[in-house]
Amino acid sequence: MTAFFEDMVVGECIELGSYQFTKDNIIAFARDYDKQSPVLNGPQADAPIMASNWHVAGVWMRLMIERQKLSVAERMHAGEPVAKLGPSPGYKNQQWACPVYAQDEIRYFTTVSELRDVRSRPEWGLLGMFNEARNAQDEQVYCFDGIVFLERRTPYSGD
Amino acid sequence: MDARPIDGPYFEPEGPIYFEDFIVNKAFSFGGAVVSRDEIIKFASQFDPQPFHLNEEAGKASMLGGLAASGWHSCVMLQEMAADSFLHWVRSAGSPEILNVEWRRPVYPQDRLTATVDCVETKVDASTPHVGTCHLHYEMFNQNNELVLVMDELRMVHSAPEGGET
Repeated sequence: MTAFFEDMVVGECIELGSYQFTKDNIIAFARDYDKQSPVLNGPQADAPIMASNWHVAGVWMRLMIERQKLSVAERMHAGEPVAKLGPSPGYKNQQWACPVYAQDEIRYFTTVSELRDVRSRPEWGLLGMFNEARNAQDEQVYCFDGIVFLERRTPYSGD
Repeated sequence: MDARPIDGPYFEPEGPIYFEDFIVNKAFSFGGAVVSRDEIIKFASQFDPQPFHLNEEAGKASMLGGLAASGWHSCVMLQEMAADSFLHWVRSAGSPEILNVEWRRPVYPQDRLTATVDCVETKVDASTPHVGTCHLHYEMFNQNNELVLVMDELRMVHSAPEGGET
């Protein structure tokens, strides 16, 4: 995602990478950020260890940034300019369709869904992305519609 | 002018909270956590290692205007404050769905965060008679009463057991 706004094509899908959820990283996340998680509520020997929703969500961001760093390195190596990725104003339709358990290896994907001009910030465009995560059975465990500012090659000058 | 409700949760303290306990359009406030610089950097290092979430200079040079929390971290902070206030006692029935999140302003170190929640709608579905859905609208503010985060979620909640508490 370090190409410029004008280089983006709606429908293009990138696999961001995968993440191995483990008992340790699930419990560590719950301790730091999700006190409600059942994994912290005492010994339940047979209960499956289930990841917090925000853990599943946070991993998407981390893999997105890792992918972006790789892409920056590739473009710099090739002598190509690198577009700046700005903050995000928000997102919609965040769903956790299936639980994620310890030992699940989850793959994360992003697909360009929308390209929006921004009159008030002509150096930037808004990139819409449909993001999802899938388990080993290829079930969708998580998805959301994200949006982020992405630098343009040429400032937007109106229609 | 502060138009926000200042009352805490209307639920009975420490008791189970069922679907029927949510009152539509009766908002309440909660929170009061102070954001620490170390926590911002810790979360960002693990899940959102972008320069403007990790150091002051990069933050100042960015649209955020200073070192600011990852938006995901802001969501987690809101949920943790909600858990401490009432969510922990809600008899939840499955994963929530978040309809939308708006990151309206950056969250900076030393910001003191408070929030309001309003149950804007409740729904029952004949196919799941013992569970209802609450549409909860959250707004989170900083110490200057500026809106920093808006979140709408659908939370499935168990109905109260028939014949009272069990």
